[in-house]
Amino acid sequence: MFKHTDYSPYEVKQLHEAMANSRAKEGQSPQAPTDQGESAAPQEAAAPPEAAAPSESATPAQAPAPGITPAQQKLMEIAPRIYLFEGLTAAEVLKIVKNVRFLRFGPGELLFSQGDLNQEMYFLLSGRLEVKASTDTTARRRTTTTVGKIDPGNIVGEMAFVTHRPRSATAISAVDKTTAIGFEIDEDALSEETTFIFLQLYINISSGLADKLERCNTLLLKR
Amino acid sequence: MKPEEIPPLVTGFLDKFFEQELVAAQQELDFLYENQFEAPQIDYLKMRRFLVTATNQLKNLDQNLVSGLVAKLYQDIQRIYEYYADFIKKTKMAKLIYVRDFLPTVPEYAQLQNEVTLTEGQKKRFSAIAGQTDRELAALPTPKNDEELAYLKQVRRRNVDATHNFVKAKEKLVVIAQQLKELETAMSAEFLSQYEEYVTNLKEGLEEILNTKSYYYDKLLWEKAAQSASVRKFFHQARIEGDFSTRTFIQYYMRNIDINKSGTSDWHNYLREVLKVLE
Repeated sequence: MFKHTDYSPYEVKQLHEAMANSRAKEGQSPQAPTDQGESAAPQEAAAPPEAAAPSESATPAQAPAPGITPAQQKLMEIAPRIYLFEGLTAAEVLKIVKNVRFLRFGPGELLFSQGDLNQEMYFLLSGRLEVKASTDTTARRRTTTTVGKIDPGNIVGEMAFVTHRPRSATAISAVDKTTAIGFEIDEDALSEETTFIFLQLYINISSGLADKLERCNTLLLKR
Repeated sequence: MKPEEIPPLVTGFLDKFFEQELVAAQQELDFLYENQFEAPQIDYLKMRRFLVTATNQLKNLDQNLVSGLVAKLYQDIQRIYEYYADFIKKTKMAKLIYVRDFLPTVPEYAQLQNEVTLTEGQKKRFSAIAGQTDRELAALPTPKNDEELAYLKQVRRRNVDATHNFVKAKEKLVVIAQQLKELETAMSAEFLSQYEEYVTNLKEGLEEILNTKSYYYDKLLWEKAAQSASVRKFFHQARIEGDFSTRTFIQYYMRNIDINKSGTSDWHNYLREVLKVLE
């Protein structure tokens, strides 16, 4: 004979949240979850950035909550997939981000250039980016090298947020219809209430950058 | 027994027989309905084997992942599943339950069975007396006086009476056996049909409980997995593309199975079936 297991209202809430988050993700990539690259936001890729969000919000389950923009809603949905926001709830993410917006780039269009002074980050929804860096930004005959390619599901630009220095590389859309969500971390949101959110964010960034450094080391060793 | 007396008798028995199961299943279902848990469209029972594998794999990657609510729900599902499997096994023997458990609760049947026990006892006793008097008669010498003749007659009477009663008991047992058989036949169809209905309802109820809980467990497990640095690292290193979900993990598994290796083709076929279910 089995006995009923009691679940507290908090545990029930956790289960409903897990389901809601999963549905939000499914709504985002219903066709081919194995290929984030092509499935992340096919509708958005085909539509102008402004139109992308309403097309998605047409699904009742995806309708943005009052006071939340479609871009913010999208960011909340994809937050669990962004290493930057690991361990944070969607609501916590919303507390520390600002200027969340949908962006679309044509081939060769720049997201940011080496030397730029801004801290915007980009989560790539579809398309592909190339990251290029110049050996000497002042020399007349500078050499530009492609240092990496960014596929959908990845984030770019977070290093400038940590260092507050000029961008160390240039990010260019490599294909037609590259779509991304751009956002900034709102450092003014740092308060007693958000201390731990920021702490988690910095831990995540450190961990992510350490991973990138490790990959660079591996590549260097292979050469 | 009148035919109209049979259905309430069967219902009464089955209500009592499945009382604990009915109460437990109803309590679980009430909990699910009251808390607005939704049943999935797909059959999670078919995915159970893989969910267990995924849980173990993720646990190996991150010891802390299957803890708290994840562990609680997992254990809850495991217990209910074990009970469900046991229930399916036990309830397969409908005829045995009918004969062993139900029939003795029918007053007429019980009375007849008592009579069988009683009559068999009498039959045994008369048989013993007949045997004993048979042996005594064979051993008795020809009576030489009136006293010996009277004794011989007394033994003969006892022998005849015992033999007569033995035969009567034997005939009575045949009649009772016939009555028992008629009673068994009369109630069998009604019992088996109602029993089937009870079992089906309970089975469906247990499946709904298991399916719903497994559905939520699947989502919770992968939500936690997506937040785990170790799991994310594993996905990255194994070049697993896609969201953190059972479907992605199955596809990764299928890619890595050597179907030519002995013993793996069943597992491959199973995964393919599960993928179909997920589609």
